[in-house]
Amino acid sequence: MKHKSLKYFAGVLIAAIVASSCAKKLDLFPTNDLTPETAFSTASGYKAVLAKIYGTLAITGNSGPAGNPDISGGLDEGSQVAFIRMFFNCQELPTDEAVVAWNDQTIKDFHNLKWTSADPFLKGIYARPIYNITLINEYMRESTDAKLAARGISAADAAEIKKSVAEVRFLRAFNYWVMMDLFGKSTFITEDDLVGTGLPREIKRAELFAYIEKELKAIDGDLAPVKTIEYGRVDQGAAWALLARLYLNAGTYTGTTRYTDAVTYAKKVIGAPYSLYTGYPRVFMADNDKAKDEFMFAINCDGLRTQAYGNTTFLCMQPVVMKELNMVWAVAGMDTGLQLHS
Amino acid sequence: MRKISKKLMLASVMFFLTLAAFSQNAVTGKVTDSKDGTPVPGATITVKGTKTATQSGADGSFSINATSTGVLVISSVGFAQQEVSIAGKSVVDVSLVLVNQQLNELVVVAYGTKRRGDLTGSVTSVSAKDFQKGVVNSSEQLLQGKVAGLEVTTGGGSPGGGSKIRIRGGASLSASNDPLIVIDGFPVESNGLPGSANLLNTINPNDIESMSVLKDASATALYGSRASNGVILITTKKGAKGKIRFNFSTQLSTGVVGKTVKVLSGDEVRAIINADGNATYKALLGTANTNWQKEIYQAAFGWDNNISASGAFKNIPFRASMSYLTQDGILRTDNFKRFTGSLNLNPKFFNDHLSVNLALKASNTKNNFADQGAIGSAIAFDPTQSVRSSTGKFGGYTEWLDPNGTLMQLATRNPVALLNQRDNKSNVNRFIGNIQLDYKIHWFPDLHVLFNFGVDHAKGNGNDNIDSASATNYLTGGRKTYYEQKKTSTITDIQLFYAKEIKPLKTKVDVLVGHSYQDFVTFTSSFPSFSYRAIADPNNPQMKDTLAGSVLGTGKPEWRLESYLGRVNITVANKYLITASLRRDASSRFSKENRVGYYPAVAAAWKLKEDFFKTVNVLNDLKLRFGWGSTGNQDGIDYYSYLPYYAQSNSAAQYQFGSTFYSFLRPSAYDRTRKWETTVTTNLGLDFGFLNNRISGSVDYYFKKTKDLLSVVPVAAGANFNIELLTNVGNMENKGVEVTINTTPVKKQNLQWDFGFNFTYNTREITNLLKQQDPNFTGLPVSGISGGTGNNIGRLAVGYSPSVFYVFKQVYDQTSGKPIEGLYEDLNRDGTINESDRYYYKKPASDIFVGLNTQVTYKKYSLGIAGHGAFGSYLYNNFNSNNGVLRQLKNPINFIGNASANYQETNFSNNQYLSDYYIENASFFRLDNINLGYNWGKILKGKASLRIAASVQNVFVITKYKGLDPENANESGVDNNIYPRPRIFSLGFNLDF
Repeated sequence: MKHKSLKYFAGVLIAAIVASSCAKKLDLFPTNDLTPETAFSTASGYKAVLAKIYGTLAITGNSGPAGNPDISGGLDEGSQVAFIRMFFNCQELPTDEAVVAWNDQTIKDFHNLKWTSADPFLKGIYARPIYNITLINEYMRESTDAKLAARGISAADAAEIKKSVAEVRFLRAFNYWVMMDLFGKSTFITEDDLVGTGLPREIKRAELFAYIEKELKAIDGDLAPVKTIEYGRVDQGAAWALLARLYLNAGTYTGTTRYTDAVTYAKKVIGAPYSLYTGYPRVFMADNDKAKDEFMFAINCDGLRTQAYGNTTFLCMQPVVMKELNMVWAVAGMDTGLQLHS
Repeated sequence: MRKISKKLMLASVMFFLTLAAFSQNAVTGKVTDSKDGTPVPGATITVKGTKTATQSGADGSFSINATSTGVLVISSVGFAQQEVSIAGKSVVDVSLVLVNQQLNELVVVAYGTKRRGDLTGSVTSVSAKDFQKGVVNSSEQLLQGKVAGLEVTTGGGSPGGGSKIRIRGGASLSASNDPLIVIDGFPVESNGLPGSANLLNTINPNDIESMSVLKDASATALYGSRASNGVILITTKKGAKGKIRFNFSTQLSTGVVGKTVKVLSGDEVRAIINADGNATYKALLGTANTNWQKEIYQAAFGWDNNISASGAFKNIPFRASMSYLTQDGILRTDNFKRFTGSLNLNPKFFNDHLSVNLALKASNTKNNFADQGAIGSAIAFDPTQSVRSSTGKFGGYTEWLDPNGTLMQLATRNPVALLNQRDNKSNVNRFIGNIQLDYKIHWFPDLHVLFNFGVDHAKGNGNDNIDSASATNYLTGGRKTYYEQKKTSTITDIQLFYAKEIKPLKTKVDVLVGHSYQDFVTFTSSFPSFSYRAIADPNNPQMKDTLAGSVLGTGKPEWRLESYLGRVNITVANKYLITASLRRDASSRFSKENRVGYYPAVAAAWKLKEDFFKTVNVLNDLKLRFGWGSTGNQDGIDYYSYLPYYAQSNSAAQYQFGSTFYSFLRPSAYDRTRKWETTVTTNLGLDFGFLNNRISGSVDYYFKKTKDLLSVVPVAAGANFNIELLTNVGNMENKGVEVTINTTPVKKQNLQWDFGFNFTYNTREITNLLKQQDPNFTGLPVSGISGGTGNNIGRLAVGYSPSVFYVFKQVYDQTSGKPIEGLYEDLNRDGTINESDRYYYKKPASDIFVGLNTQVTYKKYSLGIAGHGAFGSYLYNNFNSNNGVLRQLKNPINFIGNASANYQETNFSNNQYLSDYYIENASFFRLDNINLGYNWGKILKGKASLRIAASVQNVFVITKYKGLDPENANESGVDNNIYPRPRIFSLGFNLDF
């Protein structure tokens, strides 16, 4: 009896040793998130990444309106890394056209024209376009003919993806234009620069100008003709308009004016099949997708589906408490944009 | 879970029933200490040559069945074993002789126990009798102020709330700084669970026998990659052979608010607003004088009951216990309830060759969480308003309205409404069970095998509902939320122990090799939140009444750790002790190439007493210790983020193409080369004891160097999918000195006075933080504050302690001494005052912390006093910086608030968040506890003995700090008014029978 239970016990022990040392399952993967291989295994995966690339100009992260930011680094998601809000702040606050009364960190340095390189708002608007470009570069690396073929993407889908590559190259040029306009010099990365922790190289303003110009011209043939692609995506008209804007300010960017080129591309846009929508204010209303025939390139927002603290709600805030503290941004029935500032 | 607690209850009841009729009268007696005649409780009395055994009770008495010619063997830890012949007597009193008790005491260490005198590493063990007294809801608080090098800071006064536990200052920046907690040989998950304020509160403090704090790497390295922040080993009480003894204790307490925040009164606010003269604000003034803090706090009632039985049932030693605690918070509506049951069985089989150790602990905690936002609202809400309004809106509570009568959304909410209109309840069940089979091999008894299998399962769920009349959620007509999360961790350990004494060489060797495998899985579920009037989405009519952005989803994050470990202890001539150990850990949180880490340690001790002072009787102990070891850290980082992966966006983050909205797939930033953070510790220590150990203690010096810090650091824009990344960069150094002294200044027949003191000096410095050095780098912004958006007061900066404050230097008016609003020193003398004029000034961590304990026992009375303090710590008084301004009284969006009394000192009109004026010295000394005990002795005709204890906790605090409480668990040193720690009065009864 005693021997039997001993043997039994020894058996259990050995089984336990075997069981515990065999269980070397240390390769674990997240249950809900996708690896690059699974994300890009279907055409709809490509479209979801494309949506992210477009969406980064409208939304600050993966949860609307905030909570899962693209860019962290101690920056505030709503006020510092939102593209429209920060682009507006940089362009307008140093002028007399807008005043802000909030106590957000260094925001008043814009008014006082004494910002420094440590300014979190500037860090945010520097990081935003470059972040968008890293996404675009990754998308381009994943959209090569070889990869599409290896993943068994159908020919029709592959053609659609190739078209979207031209679009993301436009968006890359647009983001670089923002960098060139706001900062002059810029971090410079293309699809040839892989993701890591190294220091990317820097590009001078004039060289960046040349790069943007070259890119916008190179994609002209691949972009859809004006108003032939689904709403929200860019076509040739957007590229022409950006080229026209580029040439208009070429004197500032490069030292050499390019007014003739500006006229050429402006004329191309004017000649394209755009039409004005009746009722100018409606162009800025929630259902403005109805006014799409007027738009060349719109950053789409939506009160339910595309929420952020850095879009037009921020611009619509009206100074209602004028009489007491001159020009205070306050609520005008639009609480969402202000919640972060209570 | 619930099933298990029921079973447990049943089992305990059965024990009580079956065993009540067990004892018979034969030989009785009393075990005392030969020195002073004090009773020796817990001594084991065995009848020689039989299995009959019992234990002495709290008063030293025992009763045992034996033949009149038998011999009793009496043993107790720390005393020399004694044999007494019964020789026909019915009363046998025994007086035991002390053998160097302290040094012989067994101390629980990593994977085993050791005699205190043989320790080579820096280990402090605290047993139940030395625990913090009074009302203690969570086990870590038992150690507060008791151990040099261990700083336990409660998060505040909320019942069952968590604490910050730091051993030697913490070795990490972005990974966790919490020590590893091991309960009865089972390393448990320290991370939180929704619904539980603190998972350690699920353990009943009354079930704990001792806690060992392992501090240096030579003591902790056997826990390898989880040991950098020290280890706390919790050992629960076990049964011993002998008669079954019961213990019942009950404790009643009431907590009161000791101190409230200084704000302006209604009259003061009226005076300021009227003097200011602005008609808009004058019109808003009310007539009341409401003390809002008075409205939200209450006297907090607490009641803690414990019953336990221990002894042997059919020769199986066991201990079973049950407890019930209900504890109100001083914030109204706050309550914490806990039911626990535990069962330990320690039978032995096959002629004691197989020892089994079964430990089961089950608990259910129920929280009623008060909305702690009320604490902030109460100090910011206009005191000229009354609690209730006549409008009948918002449940009848006063709220700020716009001139058109709608709710002013950005105004401060009524604190009483916050408490009464939110119902936030949770339920947490936890079961920890492990079985250890220790088999001494029959044909080779020097070798034994230990098999340990354990499960730790916790489930938290709750409902967080807001009334539809509440101003916080009136837009959606209230909110109904359910949440749930489960966590399960399992462990499978195999260890082989080999012990051999080589007599000719006077050498003892023991060897351990082992394998351990632990799996941690979390089951997360998210549920939609509902409202009564949510906006219906035309595309999703079924989403009506569901709040935007809230969806159903599940996840199952999991990680695993596989380890091999080995240790050799060599003792030569009982004078020279050497320990060497190695652990190999492989974690699923790193890529295959970087998964494995090796953690070696060596330690040596030399009993100087034996070599040089053998004949010096005054000196009882003198031992020199040296230890070196390497440990790792991986806790607190994401389970999978070494992998590139794409995450889906939520329903409010989509983009429109055509008429369809597409969700995003976003690549995460990742670092495939990420690996363990490694800390190397060197420790030099001296243990000493004089005058019969009436003065004993130890001194330790340590130096910890952490490299490859897992830190979230900036990476250049464009290098990765974010501008910051969790990667291995940076170095940090911790060094310090610890002194522990325990004394017994008076030891007489009826009077004993013990006095203990511990002192710790610790400094922390970041020595490197960047991958690519940058001369303009001022550090990583940390320590977010309230007020404005994104304001940070601290930095992680090279050359400074973590979270050093980074502020402007305030300029003061020379005549009045008052700070001049908005005027700072131009430190770089460039003519403008901007970001580059901020400087590093003071830090949140303390340099020195101390603990004091003293106890006087006179006859049946005892008086104990305990306190702790910290010095050299600074806090950012965020309450004053945010609320001590006129803007707070006259809020720009047209409502009136209350201001900190500090406004009357500064007269600032707008906030000056970054001024060093608000950095205040937060050094303090707190008298934690005064307790008085009376040992009533026998009651109920000698069938039971009774002890009564009364205590006052949180007696007073000595500090210069102007805020509410200088003791702050917030690592960033930002003081935003914690939940006030109550002053607690308690009365307890303890019955042994």
